[in-house]
Amino acid sequence: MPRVDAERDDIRAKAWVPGLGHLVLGRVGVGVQLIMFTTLVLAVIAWRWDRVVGAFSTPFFDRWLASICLLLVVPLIIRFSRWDVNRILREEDQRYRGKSPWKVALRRFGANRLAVWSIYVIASFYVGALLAPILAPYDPAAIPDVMTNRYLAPSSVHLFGTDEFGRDVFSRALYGARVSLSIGLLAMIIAKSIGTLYGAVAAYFGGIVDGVLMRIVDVWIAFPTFYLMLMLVGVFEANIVVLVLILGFTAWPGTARFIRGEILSLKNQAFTESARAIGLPAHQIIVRHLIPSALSPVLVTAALAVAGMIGAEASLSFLGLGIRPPTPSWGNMVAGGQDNLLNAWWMAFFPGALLTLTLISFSLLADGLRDALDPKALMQKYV
Amino acid sequence: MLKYTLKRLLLSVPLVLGIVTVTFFISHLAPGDPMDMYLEQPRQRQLDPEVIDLLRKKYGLDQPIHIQYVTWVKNIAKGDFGVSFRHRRPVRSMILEAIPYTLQLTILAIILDVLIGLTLGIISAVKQYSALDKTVTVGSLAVYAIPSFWLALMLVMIFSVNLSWFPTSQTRSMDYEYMSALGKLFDRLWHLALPVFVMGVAGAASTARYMRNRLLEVLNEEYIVAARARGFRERTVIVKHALRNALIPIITIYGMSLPFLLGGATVIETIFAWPGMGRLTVGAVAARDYPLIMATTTIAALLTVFGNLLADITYAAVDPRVSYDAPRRR
Repeated sequence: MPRVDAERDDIRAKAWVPGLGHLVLGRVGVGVQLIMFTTLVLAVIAWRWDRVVGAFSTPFFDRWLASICLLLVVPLIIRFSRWDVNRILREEDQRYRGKSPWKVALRRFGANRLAVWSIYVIASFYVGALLAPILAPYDPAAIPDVMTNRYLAPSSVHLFGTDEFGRDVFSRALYGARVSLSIGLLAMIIAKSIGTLYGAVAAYFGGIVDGVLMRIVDVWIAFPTFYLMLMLVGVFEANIVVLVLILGFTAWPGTARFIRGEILSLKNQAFTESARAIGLPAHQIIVRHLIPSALSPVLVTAALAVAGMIGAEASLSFLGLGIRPPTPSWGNMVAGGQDNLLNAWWMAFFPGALLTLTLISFSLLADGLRDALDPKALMQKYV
Repeated sequence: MLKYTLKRLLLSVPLVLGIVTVTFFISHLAPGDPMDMYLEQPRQRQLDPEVIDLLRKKYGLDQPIHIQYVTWVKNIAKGDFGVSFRHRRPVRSMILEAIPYTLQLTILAIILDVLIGLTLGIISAVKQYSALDKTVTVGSLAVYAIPSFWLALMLVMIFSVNLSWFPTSQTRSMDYEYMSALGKLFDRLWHLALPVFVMGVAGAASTARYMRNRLLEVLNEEYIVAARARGFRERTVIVKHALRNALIPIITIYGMSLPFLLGGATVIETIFAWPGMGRLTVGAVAARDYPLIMATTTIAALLTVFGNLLADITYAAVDPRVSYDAPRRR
């Protein structure tokens, strides 16, 4: 039954409160999530009001960023809620609802409960890392009276306990998340970009170019990746930037080989022919037409690659060859707990548990993405 | 068959040359030369410039880079990897001492991997959608994702520190020398238990997943329907018809998993103070002992090439569909 205009305006007005419009429209799931999310954000702002405002009187870029992001979220949620309600109202008018492959994929992904939860976990970790200056209960570097504060067991005062210098493990883990999570993401982007471009160039030009480029990949792949990383870490002094570059530059050849295979099968199809026929230069055909068509499987491997990169960084830092203390990273925090397994198990347990949770979430995410994007699996369910 | 083997062997020669080249040039990417990097560490004593020049001459670092490269390739062909900066010993003998330890670890890990992985994979494919299948699919993903150093530490904490069931590290007990032959074997296995478990269980998780998917694919083939239609027992269909074909690609998977095993061994060996290649490499990287780093990296890569070669040849021997004339494209 079509709605009357007054009813629509009423719903649109209610959408000013995030989630309320959705509830009225019967989209309970989205509505409840929006309300909960908004409440959470407002609660954090209210709880840490002095820090959110106080950040602007400090010279630290990361505090500014955290406060701005947190404050910006509120108008953005309202904007999103109104936009989505309008979309739903518009779609109700239309007889046919389009089923684009992306929409089908999105719906299939949404039906996979583990994958959706993994998104929640990953998102909350990244948000926690971004907001570390606002959320952290203690200064991660502050060393209080060591004798009375060290090796305190987890309690409501110190959620994850304290380490050998009396530093709060929870706060350090929060700041460690920044290092670990951002290195993983950046290194993945570097590796996938190099690999995609490299594989596309090799496949498009073929012949000698392909032969030479792929022999290089063969040699690169022959090295156990972790050995290559170790060697590069030994050559260059490892700080965060160098580590990102090292991880990115060691992990691209797999993608290159994969993309090359995909594009070899695409490059003789009609759409490439026609692009060539209208005289597009090679770099535009590669970037505009070939790479986008081959990209959706890369999305799946990208999620796995982030996990791989985070794991590699953690392993290197654990071995004392990556991020060095006092800068916290999950890997070197576990290493710090290695000698205290008997008297302070929490030092190694919690950072490692967070790391494990992150890696599992990324694997589940990749799994969900593959199931959602795999056209073969699609056929079985929808045809 | 012989022709195929020879061809594959011949094809890996340029690969080996490439590996040797890459290791050489990466180690010379460092600002200055390897000797500078080694000596400029905070822990190193200050040396007289003349002594440094002598050292440089001794290691051949005073030569122009192309001469150094040719010497490096020539020496490797002779099996000579130079002398370690830190230990002042031929790298070759250090690696020869370490390799058996790494092999013990990796071979046992692969055996564990095969036993657990294949069993779970087969059961969960045959009983698809059962409770066990669901546990295996989700559980294998989780186990595979756990970082090995954390898993190792947690197991050490539970089974070595708290329960004292297994040793925390080292390769043998204090009284190893006084044990009988059987006692020595048992002692070694007792020390291997935790590291092998940590390495094997991650591999088993991925094997189980792969085996399950592969077997499910094969079970949908027409010849399986035909076998069932002919009235074979389900057991016969699975073991004799499906499993044989599903197992073949696993060989390649094991060939490809070698680099991951070697990489994983670095962390595990360091945690358990296991004197293998991995710990040697980590120690060398920490001390910037370039001859040793170059050698272990090269050898790890050569082992990987060798593993892939072995897997490909076995594959060709087992699967008659692989043509002996053209190399298989992956």
